[in-house]
Amino acid sequence: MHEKSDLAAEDVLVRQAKQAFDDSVERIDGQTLSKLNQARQTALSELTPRKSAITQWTPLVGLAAATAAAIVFWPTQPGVEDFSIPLIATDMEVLLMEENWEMLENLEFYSWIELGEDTTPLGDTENNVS
Amino acid sequence: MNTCVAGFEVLCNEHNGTGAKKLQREAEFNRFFAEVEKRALRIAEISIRDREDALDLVQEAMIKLVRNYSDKPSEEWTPLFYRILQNNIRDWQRRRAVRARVMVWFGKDKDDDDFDPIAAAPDPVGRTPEEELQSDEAMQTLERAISNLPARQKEAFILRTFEGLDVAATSVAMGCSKGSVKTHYSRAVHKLRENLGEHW
Repeated sequence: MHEKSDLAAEDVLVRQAKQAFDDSVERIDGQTLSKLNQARQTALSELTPRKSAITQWTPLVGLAAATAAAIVFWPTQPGVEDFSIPLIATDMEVLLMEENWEMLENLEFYSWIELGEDTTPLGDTENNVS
Repeated sequence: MNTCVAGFEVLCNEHNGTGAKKLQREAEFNRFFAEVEKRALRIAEISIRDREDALDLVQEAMIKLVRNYSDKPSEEWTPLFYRILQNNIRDWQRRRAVRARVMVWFGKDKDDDDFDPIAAAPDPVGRTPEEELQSDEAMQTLERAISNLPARQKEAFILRTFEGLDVAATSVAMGCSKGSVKTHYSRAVHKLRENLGEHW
């Protein structure tokens, strides 16, 4: 008889405890519920497999390699001026040399000399060859 | 040509099947978490008495469940989720104990200034202040009594009473035999009755 009443009392305690707990769950504030929602979304995002670092960078690395290869191996057509990087670099070097400024100042003189070379008598050339 | 088209269709169907399966899984997890998250939070909070940390532990448990057990049937999720949560709670308590020892060593007693009563105040949901107070007091009394229980008895009582797990699911969640669950639970109820009195 005593055991039965004990069990009944324990049942009551368990029911009351459950009720108090459920009430406390209902009282959870909006801010906390919002944080719980965020936590859930974060967990759900784990279902989408993340790309590895290698996979993420592969397209960019491939594009860079292809561009580099295109610059190096681009076929130059005959008759078309070759504007490859080394040549441009040499031109710039020549242009920036100090003594060339002098040459630029006397451009008229140099073009006169060039004109003279073109009009050299034919006989002279023949002499040079023989 | 026809073979190519047929092959492409098979590939598309397979891809759509995988996508649909993934979406279905996501919906199932969403439903499951929405169902358990509030109770899980309160359970963690009762165990560690800190809401922010309890939120972190619940999120961690959710992530671990998705990462490690998404291939398991959804019927097995509840005990697995609570097993992860209980492990997280135990780890947290261990860390806390170590931190407390270190704080005592350096002469700091407690981190009282972390507690903000306004931030921790609950939001009333359509009750009279008297009801609110009564319910709140009842839960506080219960929480105090639960916190005095030994760890395994506390776990058994919380999982069986608050989450409503049966003996088998509780044994999975606690990582022990069904017999142990029965013993821990019975002792917990007995002790709570002693501590709370008959009129609680």
